[in-house]
Amino acid sequence: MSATLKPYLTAVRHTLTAAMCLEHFSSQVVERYNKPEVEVKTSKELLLNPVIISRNANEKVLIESSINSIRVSIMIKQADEIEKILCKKFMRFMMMRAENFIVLRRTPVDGYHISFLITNFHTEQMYKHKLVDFVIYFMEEIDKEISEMKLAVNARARICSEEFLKRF
Amino acid sequence: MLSGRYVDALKVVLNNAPLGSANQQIKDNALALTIKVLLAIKSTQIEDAVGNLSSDDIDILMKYIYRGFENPSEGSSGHLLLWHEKAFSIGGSGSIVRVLSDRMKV
Repeated sequence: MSATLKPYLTAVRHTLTAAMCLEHFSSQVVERYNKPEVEVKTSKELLLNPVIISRNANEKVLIESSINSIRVSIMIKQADEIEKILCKKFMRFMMMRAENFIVLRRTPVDGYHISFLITNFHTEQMYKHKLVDFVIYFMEEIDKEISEMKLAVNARARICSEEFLKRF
Repeated sequence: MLSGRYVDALKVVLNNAPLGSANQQIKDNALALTIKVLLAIKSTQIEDAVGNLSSDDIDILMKYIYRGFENPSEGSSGHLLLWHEKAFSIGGSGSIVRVLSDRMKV
């Protein structure tokens, strides 16, 4: 299974570098406003085709791009109930602190677990290749962290129940 | 195609891709057929297959690869990822940008 991890991440990396060509573009609808077009979707000509890259049925990445913003949504592999709960709590924890992350979106897109919104202002201030590196790194680390947390939870549960049952 | 000449079948199916067709049924049928061909070509033959294609065909191939990702089935995504890598090494970022920006969806 992990044989597909590297090609999956390289495919996502190439697609992100290709899609992350953003430029400053003020709103065509309201004057003196600047909105991320991928979120408001007011004009069809400003949007690119959304593209999905999947590793299997449970893990995929949706990349929607527009002239001044790109939205990356990730669906994370969840093998069992406890991973589902851990994933949900972990994502919620991060999304509540989305302001510190800068590029994180406060709510995920429907059907996905977490979303990033990167605008031209971000690419102007931060290196594009570093932003792509960050998203890829995030995807790699999420799986590791959730597995670690699951092990920690199981270990703690085992110790607690041992202690509790020693009394009997 | 039944004779196993998948590399030629790939060329035929890419040449006759229904771009810009209004009929969704035709597009779905063409998609299913192309995915079948892509999955039938073995990993070792992918490079030869991609090497023989023109640059227009590489763009159409990329479009089909991305469409194929939308409906993952057993082991299909892994194989499609290999195709993606090989097509990218020949087509470059340009082929991906053309998939994103082309109104003529496959």
